[in-house]
Amino acid sequence: MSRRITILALVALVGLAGACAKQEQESPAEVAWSELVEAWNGLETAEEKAALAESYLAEFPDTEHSGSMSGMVVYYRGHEMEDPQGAYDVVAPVFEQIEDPEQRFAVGMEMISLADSVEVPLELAEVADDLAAQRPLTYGEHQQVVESAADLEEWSIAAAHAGAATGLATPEAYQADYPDREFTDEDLAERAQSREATSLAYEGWAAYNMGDTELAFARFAAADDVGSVSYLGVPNTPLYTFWGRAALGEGDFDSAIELLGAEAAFGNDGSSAEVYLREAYAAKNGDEEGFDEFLWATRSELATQVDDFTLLDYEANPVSLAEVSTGKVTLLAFWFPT
Amino acid sequence: MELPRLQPLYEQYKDQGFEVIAIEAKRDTERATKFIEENGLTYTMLENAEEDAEIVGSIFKVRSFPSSFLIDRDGKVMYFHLGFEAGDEEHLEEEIKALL
Repeated sequence: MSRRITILALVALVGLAGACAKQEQESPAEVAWSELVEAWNGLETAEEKAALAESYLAEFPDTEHSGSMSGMVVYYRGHEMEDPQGAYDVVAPVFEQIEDPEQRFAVGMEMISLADSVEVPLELAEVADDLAAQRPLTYGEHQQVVESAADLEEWSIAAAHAGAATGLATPEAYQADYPDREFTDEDLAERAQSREATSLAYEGWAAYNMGDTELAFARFAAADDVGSVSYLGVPNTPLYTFWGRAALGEGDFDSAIELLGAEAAFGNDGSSAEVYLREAYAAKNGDEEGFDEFLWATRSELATQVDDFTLLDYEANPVSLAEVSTGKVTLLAFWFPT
Repeated sequence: MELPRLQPLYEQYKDQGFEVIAIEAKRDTERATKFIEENGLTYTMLENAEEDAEIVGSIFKVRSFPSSFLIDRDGKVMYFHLGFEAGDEEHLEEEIKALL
């Protein structure tokens, strides 16, 4: 999940760049920030990106960009360059120097995300409580705490913040997070639903790990009712991985296989579903023989048909999916230039 | 960046019936065409439609980028991929070969 958040953060950075361009800020930090955004587009390697983010943080540790730049260091140096200790050594002094509780929260969460490979002397609950003492946390912040707590197996923290996140999974709260954007009611409802399903899934997973199996399965069923499948049949919350693992833990192999199947079958990025599906399959059948064929058959069974569409190419010619892809294997890639 | 890494895969497998369709979500035409030209991308490049006709969010429900779907010869989604990091193209290549 942390990888997914980072991708969203990269998108957020681009959005930020656009917003900053419209402001007439002349402070040295803002001038340097504009230059960074300009230079960022020309960078290719993780080394270059980490170095640029680090040079900005070294000069301007305490700005509104401290959190996002720390995120870049954690992502590029910590993950891509596989140097979590190096990333920690950059980010920890930044945390010490900043005063703004918003940025302390953002940077603190980045530090805590390194805790599986580096010793981080920072209490998750304290970082969250410090910001919560200033103002109520948003859905996204609660959920950030939840995912860190789940990584650290701090289940009571995960349960408390997942419960709070579920309470904030409303269309009104979603709109409040993006005051400048216009959404249709349908769009808001759908995004709120997706949030609700995600936090309910985490509530269930935290409850299961705290030994409350009954509550756990009730929360999983509630998340399922809200709806956790999108992307043409691809699960869009971790519900089925959590639910399937819980079923596996209870020795209900048939349910585990069914629940983990969809998540595992589509090769969902960052999902550990396949590992647990394999385990459930072996538990049911005595060994792993035939698992790969089983996984492939599951995928074929669950796969849904894509409806045809027509869009324009860059010479304004209408092009349909069918005319390009009929009888072919086709990769549909969604992107935007940054 | 994902798109340039797809170009060698496209060139290697197109004769066996592999296609790539890249859909630019935000209609940032100027930067998109510059990027396509600079990187020498030769597969199908389309632009998302406006407002009510847009498909990226409404039909495919794509919220994070880059996202991609691999569709088999019968038009079914067989693989979904979010994000792109070094090494991902090797995994993607395995999936493509399995479907060809």
